[in-house]
Parts: sequence; structure tokens; C-alpha cells
Amino acid sequence: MKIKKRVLVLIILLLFTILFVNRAINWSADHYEYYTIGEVSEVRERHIDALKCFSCHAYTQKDGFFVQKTEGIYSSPYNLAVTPQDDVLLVTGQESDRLYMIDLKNHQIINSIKVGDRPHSVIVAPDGKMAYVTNQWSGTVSVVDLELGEEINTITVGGGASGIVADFDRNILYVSNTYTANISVVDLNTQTEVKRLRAGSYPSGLNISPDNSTVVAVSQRSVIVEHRDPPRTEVTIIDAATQRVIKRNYFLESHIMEKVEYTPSGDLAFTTLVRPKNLVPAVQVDNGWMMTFALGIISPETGVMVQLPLDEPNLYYADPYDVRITPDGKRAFISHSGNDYITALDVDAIRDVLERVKSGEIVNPENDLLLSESYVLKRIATGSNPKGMTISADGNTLFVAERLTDHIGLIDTHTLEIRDYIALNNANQNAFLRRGEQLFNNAAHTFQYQYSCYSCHPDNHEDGLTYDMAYYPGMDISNVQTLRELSNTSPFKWNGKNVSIYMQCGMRFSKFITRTEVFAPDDLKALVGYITSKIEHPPNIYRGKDDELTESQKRGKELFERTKTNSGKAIPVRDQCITCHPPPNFTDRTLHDVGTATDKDSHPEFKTPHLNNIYESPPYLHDGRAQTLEELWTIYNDDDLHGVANDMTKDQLNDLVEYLRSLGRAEYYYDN
Amino acid sequence: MMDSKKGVIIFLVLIVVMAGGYLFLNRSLPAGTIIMTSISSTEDLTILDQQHLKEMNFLSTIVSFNPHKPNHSPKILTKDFAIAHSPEISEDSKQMVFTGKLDPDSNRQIWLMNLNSKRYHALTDDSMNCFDPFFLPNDRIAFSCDWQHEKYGSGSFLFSLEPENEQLKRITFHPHADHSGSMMHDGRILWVSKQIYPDKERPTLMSLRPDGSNANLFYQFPAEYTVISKARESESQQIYFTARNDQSDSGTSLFQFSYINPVTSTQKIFSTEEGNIYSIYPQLNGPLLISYQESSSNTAGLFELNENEDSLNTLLKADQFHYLEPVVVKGQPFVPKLLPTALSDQMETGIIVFTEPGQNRDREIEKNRNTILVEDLNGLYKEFLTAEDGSFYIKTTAKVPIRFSQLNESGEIINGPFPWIWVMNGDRRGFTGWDPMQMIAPANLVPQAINEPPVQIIAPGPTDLPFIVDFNPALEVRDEN
Repeated sequence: MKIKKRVLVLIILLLFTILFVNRAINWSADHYEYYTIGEVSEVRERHIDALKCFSCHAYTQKDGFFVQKTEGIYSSPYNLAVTPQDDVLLVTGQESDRLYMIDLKNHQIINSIKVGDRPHSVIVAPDGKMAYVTNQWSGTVSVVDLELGEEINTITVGGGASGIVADFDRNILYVSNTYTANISVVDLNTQTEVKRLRAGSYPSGLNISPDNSTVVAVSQRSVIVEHRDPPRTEVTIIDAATQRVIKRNYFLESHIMEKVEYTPSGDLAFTTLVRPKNLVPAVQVDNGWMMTFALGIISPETGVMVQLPLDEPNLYYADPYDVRITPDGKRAFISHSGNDYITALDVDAIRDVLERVKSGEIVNPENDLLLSESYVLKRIATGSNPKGMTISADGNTLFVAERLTDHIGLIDTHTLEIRDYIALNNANQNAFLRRGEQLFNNAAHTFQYQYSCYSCHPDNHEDGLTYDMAYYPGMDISNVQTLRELSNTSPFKWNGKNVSIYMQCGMRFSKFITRTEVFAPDDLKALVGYITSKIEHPPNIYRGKDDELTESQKRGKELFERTKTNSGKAIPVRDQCITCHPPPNFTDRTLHDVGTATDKDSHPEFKTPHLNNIYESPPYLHDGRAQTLEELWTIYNDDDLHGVANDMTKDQLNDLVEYLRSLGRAEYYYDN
Repeated sequence: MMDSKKGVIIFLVLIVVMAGGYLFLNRSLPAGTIIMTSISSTEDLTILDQQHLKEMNFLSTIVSFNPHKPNHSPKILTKDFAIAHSPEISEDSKQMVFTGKLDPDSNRQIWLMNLNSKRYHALTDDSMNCFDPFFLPNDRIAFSCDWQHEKYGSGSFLFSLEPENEQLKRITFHPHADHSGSMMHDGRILWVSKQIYPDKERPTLMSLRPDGSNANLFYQFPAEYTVISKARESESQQIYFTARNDQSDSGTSLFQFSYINPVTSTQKIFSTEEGNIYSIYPQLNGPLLISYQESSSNTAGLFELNENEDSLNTLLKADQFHYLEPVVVKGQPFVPKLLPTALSDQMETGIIVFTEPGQNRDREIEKNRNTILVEDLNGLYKEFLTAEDGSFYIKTTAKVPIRFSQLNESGEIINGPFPWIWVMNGDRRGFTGWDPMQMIAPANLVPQAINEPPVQIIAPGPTDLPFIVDFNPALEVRDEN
């Protein structure tokens, strides 16, 4: 009897397995295939892949248990300064919200000072007693007493405080406000902002000439240009005596200038540039057809602007960030955060090339992939994501913030060899999401290292450009979209074809975008985990204190949610703004034809974009035709297909735009 | 009871002995084993100065040699073959491809051998003369096969093959002699290519994705030198090759250049005035292996070249044999990347975009509207005007070679002819300027030509190709599918 019972149980289990488990396996295989390749294989070929349930349902949960338990607490050093006495190195910790003080004799951290949210840059007063730190997400400058080892004051400036430079002779501080596109002028005597100067788009780096006569500011993004015109990115020249803008020059066909540095003689200023080929059909990656990188040289006096390539014919040096020049003016260093190198340059050789450009001997230097060998001395490999640098006062040591390994690299400026490292902590730099962030910022997964995810998505956002990526040149022009807070906003791409980030970054990405080997499964998981769980929107600069809406924004909200026109006519549900753009992400995740397609588009329907922090994503529409939010309705909505707005007055439209600008992070709308 | 126990023990012992025997007979070659071509010393290798090894009918075999046991003679791996040479090893070092003839009067064929069991089989049949095989990522194999035509002369194409399903694909489509292929770390093929028609040109190194797309001129050999060996990349991204000086009756040199900048980095690192350097193999974590003959009265032996000290260390030398074309088990300098393909068999055409360099909207755009002359293998095919900025955009038949020239108003050629190019099915190519090395990145401007539909260059399709090689018809059908 016992044996019979056992046999019966086995049979029942077998039946159960056949009936249910097999179905479960088939279901999970279909589910997996759909979310990774966008289709279900009819012939039931199972993909040999390490992707498991856990990959999507645990790794990508923002603030989830798994994320909290596996990731370390990172410093993510961003920018540096060294005291004039060469005794202390100051490092901003972007992720730890701290300013680190490192004793340069014994390489030990002597203090870790709490500053504002996302500290960006730091400068030191000439007496070495005070430091000033910009806090990008707080929109403040921390005044730090280095002797006391604490923040003693905060100065409110504009949104996105990033670059900083001081004119200590005049007691003036200049701060780039990246998000509000201006430069704060701060009186150091009163430690208050006295005025703002309009400056480019996403101003970032700042520096003052050696004679304290001019301040130069560079910007990350191009100014708004006509649709399908090349980017033009502003270099703002400020007269230091009057604190007024005296000139606006532009680098053409390039953008993402992060830092700027004067030569000791003051006749030239160097910056770094990304030269996208967004207007060129993306038919290939070879021969610099997607992206190249350059050193931008500005002559503040004459206004001459020259771009010299940093790449080589079969290897590219992605995402240059900082540029520093030795005190003797002989060598310059550039950090390439996209491929983990420092390039050492011969400044005299650069001057020679400039003369040859001036004489006409060299024409179009910016695209000549052979030119860099004239002035590149050496490429020095570093840890992950080298960002800010500084040079010791004696000129012998270059300090490099290796952001994604939590190290400071020390390089001998004469031998061009790495001398030492300083570790900021012992967190696991290979943890899952950290690894994903490293991959995001590294160009190794693109053919010949030509660009990283960051190159088109700087600061995990978008670069404000439109690209020609479809098979037929000139068709289906695509406006780059932000990568911030993508959870619950699928499908992806304007045509909605990618149902998940796995699909977005998987084999299709490899075939058509990076043109090289697909990510290994573990790397793909890490990258997707990072994108979906760790990228946040910065604070919305248009929201009032305590996230209160202004009166104009409240009126705009009513308009956004209205169900009747001004004349009382009912607006069909399908035409109400809130139908397609409901909170919390302000997307219904569906494709719609809103009358915005042109004869250059192969399909009329586009996936509804999410609108969180939409103010920071111009231009607008799938092809970037609308330069401002307002143009969506004043130029591109003749038939009221993209929301009923033609009956609105100008004031109403202004209120609507103000409300749209106030749309912040999704979590606010969950709670409210 | 006792009998059954004995029976079990005997059975188990037999199993162990058989297993051990099987493992012994199928044991893999130890790491570091050198596999190479061995040619009798009675053969005159000086002819290699002018011709490639593939054309020789030297009686050759492939042997293995363990440098850690230098007293052991090399072991023959291809004893069944009348001629066997040009071995290459798979990424896992378990398989070898080589060129061989079982019958000395037959065509050369490509063979695949399991290095553990020593079993082999042919990958091509006797209807084609094929040679120079090498492994692509994912255990696919590429090789060259001859073509001949009364009008166009004779040359060779590159092919790729998936051994599992025997899907054979041609991957070069120009009237060239393509041979001596190897892999680069970036996943592209690097090979020696020489234009045959309409004019014979000097050999160059070209690069290509394994699916046949993006064929580019990669490197131009130094003037006055004729390449002898394959070009091979090392783990430090240096590419090596040997070449003979055309101006001299004897002597060869070993050159290196950087993958990163092939244009200006060429260096001669070793040369011999009387002898010959036939082959080069950059080992992983080791010195360069070269096949070197000190003079015509010596045999070619295997040496390690220590570049830093400029010294040679003898590994293997014999009076009776020349040793050439070494490869090393588990010594491959890198694993090449597996490049994806973006091609589509559903499409019969591909597109090409050409831009002129250096225009900028804020500077005055030079009026560059010119006439482009397109030729195919039958001669002049079409003329058309470029856009005002000098750009043009064409759609052309896949796998049909074409080339361009730029004419001035008087009809004189001012640029070109550009080297023969082709597109694959659903392929897209871009070019900036008329320099075949393509060292100028495009300006960031919308090429005006793409504002109009592409110019159609629908040259005769593959089935009408004027030069059909002496293929096995069955293989030809596979190719066109």
C-alpha cells in the first residue's frame, strides 16, 4: 500500500509538472523574450542568457531592499583644489555631499565636512584658510572655514551652482548657475549675491585671467538654433572690473564645455569640447561619423576660436571634462571621463599648430584625425571616470578625481607617470549598480571607444540635440530624451518600439548604435539597473518654497486639467491634456497621432513623452522642432490636435507654460 | 558471489583503462605548443620573395612542437596530406584550420582538424582553389578562393563559413586579389588586398566587418616594399608584417605600426640584408615569434625576437626543414570582439552618403557642385551632379563593386577614381572627402544631398556579374541566397 501511495504521489507530481510548471516556464520565457527582444519566439528557442526574474524585478527597484543591501556608500570625487601651501587637497564628494580635506604629506583624510546637496566645485582663498564649494542641487555656495573644519555660511545663488572662480583682489565670487543659465556675482564682503549675468545655456566652467582683467565662462549646451542647424555653444567673456558681459563668442559644431583654464601668460584659454555629428546621417561609426572630441582654444583678446582634435584615427577619447595647465605653461592635461585616460599635451606644439592654422597652412583642423599626434605627449590610463583635476602649486603633481573608483590619482607632471593613489573609502567599487554607472560613463562598449552613454546623455539627461539615426538619411529625425527617472515610463523611443530598457540597451543598441559587441549579460543587467534605479531629476527650480505652486502655476494647472474651452464648449476626453499626460509621470505610455508628424516621418504616431522636469529638455517634439514649450501651441498646433489650446489667451498660455515648468519628480505626485 | 564481484571489478578496470586510453589519445596539445608549416630544405624558398606561399607546390606539412621539450622532434599533424600549410588555431585552441591537398594535383582546399582527436574534414570542395583560412569569432571561418576571368584577370575573394550549417558567404566583391587575412581585436578582418582591374595596383591592407560590410583601406605599405607575410595584431595593438625591399635583390624587414594610427606610426624593427623573414606571430605575454632564414644557404627556423634588446633567441632550427607560419596553442594575443550585423537579407540594395570636408555655415560655403562619374565593372555606368555643397547620396545594388570620380566643368577628373567599393544588403556607408584613408571626420552639417531621394545606381545584380569564378554551382546558389 505504501508503495502504491508513493507511486500515486509521483504520478500526481508529474502531471502537475507537465500541466503547470511547463506552462509557467513557457509563460516566463515569453515574458522574458518580450521585454528583451520585443517579440516572442515562435519556435521556442530559448536564449542562452543569464537574465533572470531577479534582473528586472529586484535590481531595478529604486530604493528597493536589494539596492539598499548591495550598494556601498560612495564619495564619487568630482572636483579638486589644493591649498597654496600644497599641504591640503580639497575634494568635493558628489555622492556623499561632503568636502574632503586630505593631508598631502601622509595622504590621509583629516576631515570630511558636510556641505550642500551634490557639491560640484571648490576653490581656496589665497591664505588657505577659507574654501568655497558650489552645491549644484542646493543652488548654494558653502563657505568653509578650513581651520575650523566646518561650513560657516551658505550663500544662495542660482539653480545648479557648478563652476566657481574668485577675484580675491576685488572680493568678488563668480558662480555658474547651470540650470538657470546665468552667472551669479557675489560680494565676498557681505557674502551675498549682488547680480546675475546671462550666460549661454547650462553654463559650467569659469576661470579668471592671470591679470584679473577678464572672467571667461563656458557652457555645456548649445544656444537654441534653427532646427537642423549645427550647435553653437557660448563662451562668455566678463569684464572683471565692472562685472559685466563684454563679449559672447561661440564654438561652432560643438558643445559640452565643462571647464576652462587660462595659460599662465593669459593670452589663451583652453576648454574641452564634444563635437557631435548629430546632423550627419548616422550610417557608420568609423572615421568619426558619430562623435569626436576636441580642445577648444580661445583668444579672449582677439576672439579667435580654434578647435584642435584630441582623437586618433582608430581610437577616440570620449567625454573630455577638465583641462589644467602647469604653472610654467609648458604642459596641459585633459581628463577623458569616457575612456579613463588623461592626455598630456605639449602647449608649445599647440601654439605652433595655431600659427599654422592662422597662416592657412592647416585648414579645418577640427576634423583632422591625424593632427593630434603633433601635440599629444602621452595618454595616461586612470581609474574609472576621471573628472576634475588640479595641479600642485609647485607644478610637479597633477591630482585627478577618479569619480567612480573613489580614488584620487597622483601623476608626476614631468615623467607623466602615475605616482600614487589616495583612496577615499573602502566601499565596494564593483557592486552591481556602481558597475552599471561605470559602464554608463565608459565608451568601451562603442566601436573604437567613440562615445559613451554619457556623450549623448550628459549628467544622465539629454544633450539638447536631434540626431539622424534612421535607416534612410534625413528621415525620422529623433530628439534625444532624458534618462532621468525612467521607471514606469515605458515603452521607449519616440516610436515606442522598445518595451524595456533591456531592449533599448541590448542587441538592437549594439547593432545600430554602438556597432560593436553586445553587452555581456551581467553588464547589461548592471547598466539597466543603474539607469532605472539610480538616476534622479535635480530639484525643480520653478517650484516655490515647500513645493508650493505660484499663482500663475495654479492657474496653469487648471488649464492643464480643464474640460471646457473658454467659450464653455466641452473638450473631448481624448483631447484633454491630462488624458495623455496624467501624473505622476505625465505620460499614458501610449502612442498617439497629435498632428506633429511631417513628411520626414515614416509614422504619424509617437509615444507620449513623460513631462517630469520638462523645462530642462528643450527643444521639444519628437524631432526637436519646437524651440520652447510655448512653440508647441503657437507654431505647431494649428488644428488643436496636440491639446485644445488655440482659444487660450496669451496670458493663459503663459500660465500653462509656467505650470508645465513646475512639473517635478514623480514621487511628489505619488504623495500628493 | 565471488565471481560477480570479480566481474564487477574487471568491468570497472576495463572502463578506467578505456577512459584513460581515450583521454590519452584525445589529449589536447599543451599551452605554448607551436604549430607551423614545415617544408623540406630541398625546396627553394627564395621564390617566396615574389609570390605568395599559396601558389607554391612545395611539399609541406603541418607539425607541432613543444618549446618546453626542445629535444623532442616536431610531430606531424597532417600526414595524410600531400601539401598542408597555413595553420590557424581557434579561440579555444581545440581546432585548427589549414590549407591542404590530399592529392597533389587537386585544388587547394580548406580543412578543419580537431586538435585533440586529429580527425579532419574538408570545408570546401575541389572545384575551388582556396587557401589562407583563419577563425572569426563564434568559430566561423574565413578564407580566400581564386577567381579568373578572361577580361578582368585573376584574383581572389574572401569567404566566410559557418561549419555547423555550412553556410558559405562571399564577403569581398571587388576585382582584387584578397588573401592573408587575420583578425583585429576590434572584430574586423585585416587582409592584404591588391587591385587587379582595371589596373594592377600595389597591395594594401584593408579592413572589413566579418559580414562583408564597411570595407576600408586600413594601411598603405611603405613605398618600395612588397609585403610577404600576413599582418597580425598584438595584444598591445601593434600590427606586424614582413616585407621585401623592391630595390634590392635580397633582404627583408619586419615592420610594425600602431592600430590606433596606421598612417604615421610605421617603424622598421628588424631587418636582414641577406636572409628572409617569412612570418610573424605576436604571442600573448611573450616575445614575437618569427620565421627567419639568415641567408639562402640556411634553412628558415623559428626564433623569438626580443624587440627591446633587438636580439634573437633560437627556438627551433633544422638542416632538413624550413619552419614557417607559426601559431601558438593558447597563445593568441587577444579574443576579437564579436561584431553584430545590421544587414538585412530582405533588401537588395544599400546606401552611400558622401560629404565634402570642412564646410561650415558661418563661413562661406564653397560652391562645390560637381559631376560624379560612376563606373562599374563594365565601365562608365552613370554621371550625376552633386548637391551644391558637394555631397551626394546614392542607393546602389548590394554586392556589386562601383567606383567614383569627380569631374570639373571641363570633364577632367579632379579627384579619384576612388577605390572600388560595394555595399551589402541593407548596408550603409559614409565617406568624407576623396582621401581613401578617410582621415577627416565629417563636418556637422546636414549634407544637402539627403534632402532629395537618393540617386539610383542599380548596376547589374550579382547573378549578372561579368566575372563568375569557377565555383561549384551548388556553392554559387548558397552565395546568392
